[in-house]
Amino acid sequence: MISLQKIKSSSFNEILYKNLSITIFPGSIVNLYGENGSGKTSLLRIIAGLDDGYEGEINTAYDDFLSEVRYLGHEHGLVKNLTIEQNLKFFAKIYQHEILLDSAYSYFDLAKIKNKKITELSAGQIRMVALARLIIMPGKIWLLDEPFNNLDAKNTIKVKQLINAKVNDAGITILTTHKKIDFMDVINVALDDFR
Amino acid sequence: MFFYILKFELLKILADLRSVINNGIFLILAALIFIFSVDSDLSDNKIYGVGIILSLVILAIIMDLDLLFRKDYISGFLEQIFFVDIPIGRFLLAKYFSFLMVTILVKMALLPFILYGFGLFNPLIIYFLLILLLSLPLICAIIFFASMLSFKLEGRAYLVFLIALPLLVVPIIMVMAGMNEIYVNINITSWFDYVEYLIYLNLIFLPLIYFLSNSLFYYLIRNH
Repeated sequence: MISLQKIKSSSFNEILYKNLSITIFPGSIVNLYGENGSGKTSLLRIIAGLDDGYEGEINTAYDDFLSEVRYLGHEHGLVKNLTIEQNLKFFAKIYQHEILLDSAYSYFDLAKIKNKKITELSAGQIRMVALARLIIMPGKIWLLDEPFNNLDAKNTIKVKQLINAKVNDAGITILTTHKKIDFMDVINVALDDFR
Repeated sequence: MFFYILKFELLKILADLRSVINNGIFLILAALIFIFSVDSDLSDNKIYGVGIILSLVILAIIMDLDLLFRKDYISGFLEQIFFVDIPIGRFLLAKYFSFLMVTILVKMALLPFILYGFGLFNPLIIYFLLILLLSLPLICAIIFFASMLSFKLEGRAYLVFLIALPLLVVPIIMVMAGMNEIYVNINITSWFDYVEYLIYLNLIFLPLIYFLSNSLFYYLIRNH
């Protein structure tokens, strides 16, 4: 469970949101949506513990919250001069989940290009590699900043299915987009309502 | 796990071979400029040559200052490390050792040519190479710490020069004073004293820099 109470955040003296209170239970998907500059990324970073610049309270029911969080920001967190395989293997090895590597490749059709460097990939392929990393890293909470960006329709569905599987396993997914989305029982939260 | 992270960090450096080569080219070019413009033979003023070479080596290492953490920060890799289930100290140590290993390898491979160019390639030069080798862990640790301080500073990057880089004076004094004993006072016993001081400095500063870097990481990765 993640509880946000009366969160207030500002950017350059402009209030992005105030009195934002949500309680998110395991098995939920929350979509924080709004236009550019509405504070979606900032709120996601606040929840992730990457931003201390806020007022209010965040409580969680996890003993070690950070170790449960898997964060996908605007930047993909991949080493550009290394191959897909070298990048994913690093995280798989750390979590001793190398056995899941093949599933991650096949889920996003990355097996044939796993020896390509990140610099040689398209924006959509890079996004898929970053999303494939979620498969090999355990963690109950996924914080995904605009996860569908640069993805085609087929892969957007795959990501939605992946999120579906995570929440069915008592996980929590908090994502950001520009608009309301409608799949499973997504709780859409318009950040503009809290200005 | 530490060795795996170390291997990965080495892989990252080697995959970006251009930076390693650029660094080596800088060292050779700067040395050539000195060799041709100042004096092609410093055999009568060996201590000047030692000073010039030490400056060039430190400058070449400083060139890596931006590369160490900034690239990882910009790519979002550091954010991923923030959430990964490994003690951050282990990651920092692996990063430091990979940096140190590549630095030692590149500098030690190029130094004989540079020393030859300066007319300093003689049996006594082994003292310079040894004391330099002992000072490199400290020099690299200071640059490593400076790199950590600088990766988010942007316009306030001058803080690095105020906080971290003045520390470089310490190993510089040790190396120069030690080599002064060899070339000017011709007193090898005193040279050993400076080697001893350098070992003590490494033993004191390396853990200190490690603990500072460890606590700084979480502070720097967050927005405040």
